[in-house]
Amino acid sequence: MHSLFLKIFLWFWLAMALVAGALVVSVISTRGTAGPEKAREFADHVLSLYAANSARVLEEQGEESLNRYVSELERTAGLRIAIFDERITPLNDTSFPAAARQLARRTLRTGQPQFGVTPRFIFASRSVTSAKGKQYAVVGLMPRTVLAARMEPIDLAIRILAVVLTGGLVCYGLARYLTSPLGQLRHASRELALGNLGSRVPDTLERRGDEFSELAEDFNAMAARIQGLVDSQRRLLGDISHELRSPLARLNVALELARKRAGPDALDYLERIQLEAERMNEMVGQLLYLSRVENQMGARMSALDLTDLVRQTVADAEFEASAQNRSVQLRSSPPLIVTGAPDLLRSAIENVIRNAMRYTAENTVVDVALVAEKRDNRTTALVRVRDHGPGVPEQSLDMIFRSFYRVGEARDRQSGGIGLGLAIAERAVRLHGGSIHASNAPDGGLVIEMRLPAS
Amino acid sequence: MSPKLLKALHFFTPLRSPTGLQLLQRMEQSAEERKILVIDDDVELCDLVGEFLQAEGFSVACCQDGIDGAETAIQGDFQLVVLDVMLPRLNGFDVLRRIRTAGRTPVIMLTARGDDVDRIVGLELGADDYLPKPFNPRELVARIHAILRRSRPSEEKRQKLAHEDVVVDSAARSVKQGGKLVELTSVEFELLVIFLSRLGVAIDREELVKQVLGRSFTAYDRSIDMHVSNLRRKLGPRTDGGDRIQSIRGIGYMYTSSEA
Repeated sequence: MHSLFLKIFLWFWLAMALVAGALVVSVISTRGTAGPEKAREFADHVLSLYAANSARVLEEQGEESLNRYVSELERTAGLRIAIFDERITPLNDTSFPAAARQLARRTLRTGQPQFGVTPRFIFASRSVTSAKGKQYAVVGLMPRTVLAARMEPIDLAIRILAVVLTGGLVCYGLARYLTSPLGQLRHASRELALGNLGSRVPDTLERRGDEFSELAEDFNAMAARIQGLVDSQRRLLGDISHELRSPLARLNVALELARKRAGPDALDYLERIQLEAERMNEMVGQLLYLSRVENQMGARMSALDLTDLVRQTVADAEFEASAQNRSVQLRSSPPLIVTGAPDLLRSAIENVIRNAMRYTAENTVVDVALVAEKRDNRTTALVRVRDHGPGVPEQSLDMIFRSFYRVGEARDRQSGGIGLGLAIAERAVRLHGGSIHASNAPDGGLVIEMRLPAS
Repeated sequence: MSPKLLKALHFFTPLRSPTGLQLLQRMEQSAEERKILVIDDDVELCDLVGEFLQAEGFSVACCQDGIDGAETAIQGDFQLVVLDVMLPRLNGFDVLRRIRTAGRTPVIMLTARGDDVDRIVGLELGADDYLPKPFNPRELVARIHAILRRSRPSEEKRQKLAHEDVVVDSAARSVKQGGKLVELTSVEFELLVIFLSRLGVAIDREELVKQVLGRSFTAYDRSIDMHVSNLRRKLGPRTDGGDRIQSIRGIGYMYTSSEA
């Protein structure tokens, strides 16, 4: 969410800042250009003096001196002057735009001062009568920049800051507005993926009335449908398992009645029936447990000592394993605290260890290791269980966590596995926000790794 | 596998050699007929259980729904009620509540799901015992006898088997450790009886399966190990911190004494 949010926010802000910057620059470059009043003042106060002087210099000292006087004026005052006689003939060498000549003509015709503004210059023209009684028109040109009022740097900084901050605020709002529905959608879909099928996008999003609300509506419809399907499937599984218990209960009673009456040669078969009934019952029990785990989204979670839990589970497993001529050993156990439901976590770890005990060869060890993995300031508890058995074909590794999945039909049935232990472990670990992974050890045997977020 | 599930696995056979418990049972069977009420909505199961209990010397009545069951239990003169949790019209817990407001008739609850919550609620409401469904009828009979005997404590001498802080009352089928009641499944109970009667002797797994589970041992059988493991967990360590039950590599298990 943050990256899209940041992208929109920063790009819009940048665009806004650039526009504002361009505006500021253009305003500064044209700002403070003198208006007509200024031009008038300039003409009245300055030009009258220069005009009289110019006429006097021309008449007393000739054109050469006039040219010197004019260039002197331009150098010191930044003012360019052009002098025209009554026939509008320029009397000095100054280069000037055509507008100056028109202005001079108007001045001589009306006898009034004239003003003009072009993008680059301000013109003022005034007529002057010399001592000899000749009429001249004097046009003054001044580049507009000379008259521009300079802006103070602090002033400029405040303006730029105001523009950037306002822009930032607006862009932040805009980016929020555009990306927050994405955040909500993402939150809802992630919850859904984690197995919380009741997860929905909030109504507020649906009421926006734009494309996002259509997406939200579709998402909610989809989630509702998935929830319905999964619920009915789970209910079916749970119901079937539960219903199987009734015939099993009757079977048990009938079996005992049969035992009372059966001859000795039938007893072996009755015993066999009992064993199969036991297996069936165990399977039903595990199925019910599995569906309980799956429906236990809001299981009561508390902080628990994973190290202690693993140590106990390994001790219990070792106790059983040694009677079977196998061994279970805990190789490392750093202190780790996780948040979880103790029953579920214990059954996850127990199921994985039991699976390893089932397949490890006689006189070998099942290695259990608890490792604290630290990455990006987050600690993950890793429980690694490794057996010394035949391992699992590579292509089947991901499938062993499915319920009733069997790697090799004959071998698994013989081993007494039901095919639910690892499925239960996987559900329980996932319920805790963790992951489970199977791989083959390079020197043989299956490695199952469970990762749980630790604190 | 979860220990909860194991509780659902109650298939058990009494010991081959007659124990004190069995002798007592035989004495009682010759005594006057006892009336038992079975409340379960499964008609066929009721019939089968009725037949089985009759063969054991009880007279049996059946009810298929909760309201009838509660009325029959309160009005009839029954020595004991076997009550299923899942019932139409009125569930098992409510039936139990009605029976308890009327009197002290002993009740065994059948908890269908092997569900801890059902069991705990049932016991809190005053059930005398519980049995997860599907159950072994021989175990039902053993529990009925134990409860009937408990309700007349003065009549019988109690058979007790004790070692250190563990006391087994085989008549009442109860186990205390350090004065506290330990809840054991019947398989665990039978295991403990065998262990205590053969202290310090390694017993192989095959024999345990035969004696406790009542069937022969199969090559990949792990269930007996789980039962022993659960028993060990429930009893906890010895007062001196040692293990009560030790596994003997490649053979089986042994109950040990502190001094050993």
